[in-house]
Amino acid sequence: MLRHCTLICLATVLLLSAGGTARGQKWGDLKGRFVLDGTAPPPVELDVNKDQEVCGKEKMFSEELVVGDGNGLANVFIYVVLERNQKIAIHPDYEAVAKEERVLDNVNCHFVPHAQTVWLRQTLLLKNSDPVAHNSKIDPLGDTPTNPLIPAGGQVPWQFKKSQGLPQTVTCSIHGWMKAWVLPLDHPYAAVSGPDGSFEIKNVPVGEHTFQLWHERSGYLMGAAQQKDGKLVLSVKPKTAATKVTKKSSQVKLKIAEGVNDVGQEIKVSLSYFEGR
Amino acid sequence: MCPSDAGERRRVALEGRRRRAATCCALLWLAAAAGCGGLSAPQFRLNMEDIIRETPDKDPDEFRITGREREQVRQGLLEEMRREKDPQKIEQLEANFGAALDAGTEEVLKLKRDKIKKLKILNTALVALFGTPDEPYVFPESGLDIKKIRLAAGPAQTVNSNVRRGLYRQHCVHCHGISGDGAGPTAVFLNPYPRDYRQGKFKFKSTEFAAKPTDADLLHTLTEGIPGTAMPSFKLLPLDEREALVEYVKYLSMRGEVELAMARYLFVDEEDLELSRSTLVEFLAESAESWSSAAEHVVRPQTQPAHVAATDPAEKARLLAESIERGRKLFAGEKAACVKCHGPTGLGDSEDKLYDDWNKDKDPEKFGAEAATWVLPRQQLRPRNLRLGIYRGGRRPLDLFRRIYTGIYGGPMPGAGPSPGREATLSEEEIWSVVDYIRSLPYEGQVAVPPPRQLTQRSRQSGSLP
Amino acid sequence: MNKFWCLLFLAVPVLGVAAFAWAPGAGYWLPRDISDHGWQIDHLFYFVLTLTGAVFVATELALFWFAWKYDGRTNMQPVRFTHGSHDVEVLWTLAPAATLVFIAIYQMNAWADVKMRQPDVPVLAEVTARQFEWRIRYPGADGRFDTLDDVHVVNDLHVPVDRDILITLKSQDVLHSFFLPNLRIKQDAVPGMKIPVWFRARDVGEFDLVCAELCGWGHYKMKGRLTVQSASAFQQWLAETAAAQEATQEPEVEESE
Repeated sequence: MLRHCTLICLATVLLLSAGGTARGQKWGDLKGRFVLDGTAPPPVELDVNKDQEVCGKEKMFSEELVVGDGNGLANVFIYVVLERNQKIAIHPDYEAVAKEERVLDNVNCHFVPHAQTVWLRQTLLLKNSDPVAHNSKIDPLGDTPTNPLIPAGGQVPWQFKKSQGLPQTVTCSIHGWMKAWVLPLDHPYAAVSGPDGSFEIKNVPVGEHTFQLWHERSGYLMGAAQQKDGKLVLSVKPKTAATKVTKKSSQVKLKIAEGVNDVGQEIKVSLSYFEGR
Repeated sequence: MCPSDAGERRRVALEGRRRRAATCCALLWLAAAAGCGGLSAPQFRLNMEDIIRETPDKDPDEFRITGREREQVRQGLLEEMRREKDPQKIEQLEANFGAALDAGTEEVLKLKRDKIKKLKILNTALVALFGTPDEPYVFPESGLDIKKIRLAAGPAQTVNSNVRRGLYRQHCVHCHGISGDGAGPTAVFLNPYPRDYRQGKFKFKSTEFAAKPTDADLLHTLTEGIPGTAMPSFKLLPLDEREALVEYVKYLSMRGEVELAMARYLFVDEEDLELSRSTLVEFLAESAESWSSAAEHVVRPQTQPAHVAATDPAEKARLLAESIERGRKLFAGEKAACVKCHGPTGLGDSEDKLYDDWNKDKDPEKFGAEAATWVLPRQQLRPRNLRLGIYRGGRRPLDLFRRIYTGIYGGPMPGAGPSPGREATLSEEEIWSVVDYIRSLPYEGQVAVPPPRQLTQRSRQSGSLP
Repeated sequence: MNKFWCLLFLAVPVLGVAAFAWAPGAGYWLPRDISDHGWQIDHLFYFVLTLTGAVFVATELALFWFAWKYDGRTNMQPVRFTHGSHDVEVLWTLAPAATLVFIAIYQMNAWADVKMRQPDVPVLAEVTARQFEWRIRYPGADGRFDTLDDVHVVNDLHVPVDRDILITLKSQDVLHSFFLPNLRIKQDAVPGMKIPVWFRARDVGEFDLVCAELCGWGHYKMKGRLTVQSASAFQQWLAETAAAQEATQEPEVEESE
């Protein structure tokens, strides 16, 4: 009798756990803040040689290295990397996100936002809020390219079909200084650090995931994970002349627990990543 | 001259002459033999100068760490020590310096051997898929005609009196290179550089922006050449030879795209490539599909300019003038924004920082000393001077329509027409107006020219020409 | 000098004459002449060939004879020095000079026909030589160059038969030479100059247009095609090409040659 009950209980538990990821799956948030370890070099002024009445209203500076309040390092991409044919559970809240449009706007002759991620299920809306015409040239690796001329006030929806390993550039031919970065992924677990260096990815499935860190000026940032006092801490290893920063060697495995995973509000990124070219 | 022993002198002279002749012959033979030793069957040159620099023949395990690499690791460790602020840590690093150095060099050597191993895999995969320049081969999935490719491939020779081989090497290789990389021996003297087929990007075609050119497009380029560039017209070649060359261009392009995709997969994504038929076909499939479906993406205007349909000459002229005026306003207007690059008078002088896709990322500042090793230095691309009357993609109104409608793939020219997912910036009627305006630009401002002068006796004597 | 070398020297005129006798039969001779002025060029060619040939054979035979007769091994006569003969020297200066003056005057008519007697016809086409092709432009329906209806063709020069044809020759980059072998026409295309070239073709067919001035690495393959057609066929071709150039729609049927 007892053996039967145990067997039935065991079977029920197994069935329940094998049945649905949604029911048994737990979720956690990932957040943190990147800071630059050192003083940022002065920003480089851009040569605005076209449409000065619209574009030259204020001085424009290169957004290759943007450091905000409290030395916060902006525009760092942090995203989950999946193996070939590996799937990841999607939180039901993201169904609404899938219907949202991501916008890449031309404002005062620069792209807003400078860096973003796009889920393949979302549409990227290329907008032009300027009184002058722009074009948005995107040539994603292995995916359909486009280069539409967008008149003032116009917009063009664009659909990426392929997930990328690295952010892709968007440029304007008419205004050569304009550049933005877009990373199309086949999942929504990605973020770009804001002006103060902070980022947040909500509702990541609990478990270990491989994350990639990338910044346009430095390329891959070498992440390292540690457990400090039972908490997960993310750090960025400094780069030396002998270090071969490759895609695999810079990936970091983070074990996401249920609830909020604050991996550090002062994740120092060494200045060595941004020296030289 | 002293008439002494003439016979003796002659004998000595002959002796010297014979010896000199013998030495000359020996030297020539040696030179020829040495030269022949350097001849070998041509190989495809690997893509991606920035990723792959050597073509190794040795076994990966034969590679050793070089002195320079060891020194680099040492410098890296020293720099790490310099950066470290904590004195305890510095002591630790000093103590473990030797071990760290060994570990570092081991890692570098392992990466090097891995890279060489991957290169060998890449080479094997490409030979399996496409063969060699002398012995080409195609999978049936590629959709290519191997007979035509064999006609174009191989050394230039005549197999029998009527069939020729090696057409590509006879006509194309000196500019376009053996791999179709646009970096043949004469390429460096040209502006613009010859097309690099390996990216699969062709500028002048009848299809939509991202689509491949059709066979007819490539044949047209071969037959008519590209005015304003060094690409000559091969009109005098028989049609079957031109078609063979078209097929070979497609073959090189497909090979290049597959090579690029595989190289990225191996070296940038750092994956392992399994050498099985299904994996190889997976890499081939996308490129092959884009080529075979090119004909479905031909841009066909749904309308014609109004003045084309008109029959009355006065009406025709009036409609044409109206269209040109409309086109002029659009050209200078904010919607089409042509003047932003092509200049207020269409001279192509409003933008000087443009590059086509092949040259865009070749910033010599970024690459430093490496830029000096490039076969082809970076070349700027100027917006077309529309007053010359030289149109690289063709001078028909239809060709100009297509350039504006789709833009130019491989260059910065944006497209103003619709395509899946986006509405048009300019309607077809507006594009025709701009086309009419552009076609009138080289002749703008011409005063009425009298008919050609008939030669009179006087003009003949004075030697003046019509 | 021994007999072997004498015979070798004799072989030169013998083989030379033999080659010229054999060549026309084997097809290695002047290209087919379809022009009306070409016969003058050919006539001059034969004239000069005969004259120089005769002199060549005579001098070679003399050389052979003297080398044979005065062979150093068998001839024991002592060397005789001479101060030459003034009369002989005058003779062998005046005779060639007179010959050359004769040739210079004799060919004047041929030169004038080809280079100076320009026919009173409007220019049919403007040929611009470019590395490494021939860009041809017809004035189009309005009969004027530099207008929108000019017909542009590459490497394929069409002309009507039995008409005086006037071509304006230009060069876009370096020296080229407009050479029509079957019309005996050869004119350098000089950058910066517009040079008139004229001819009249008697037969229809397709003939060669080649470059005859070294212009770069592609000079050897800078070939074009001269198509001589009947007047109606020429007009039709011109109209078709002009219409194709104005195309606003994709042609329904792909034209193959």
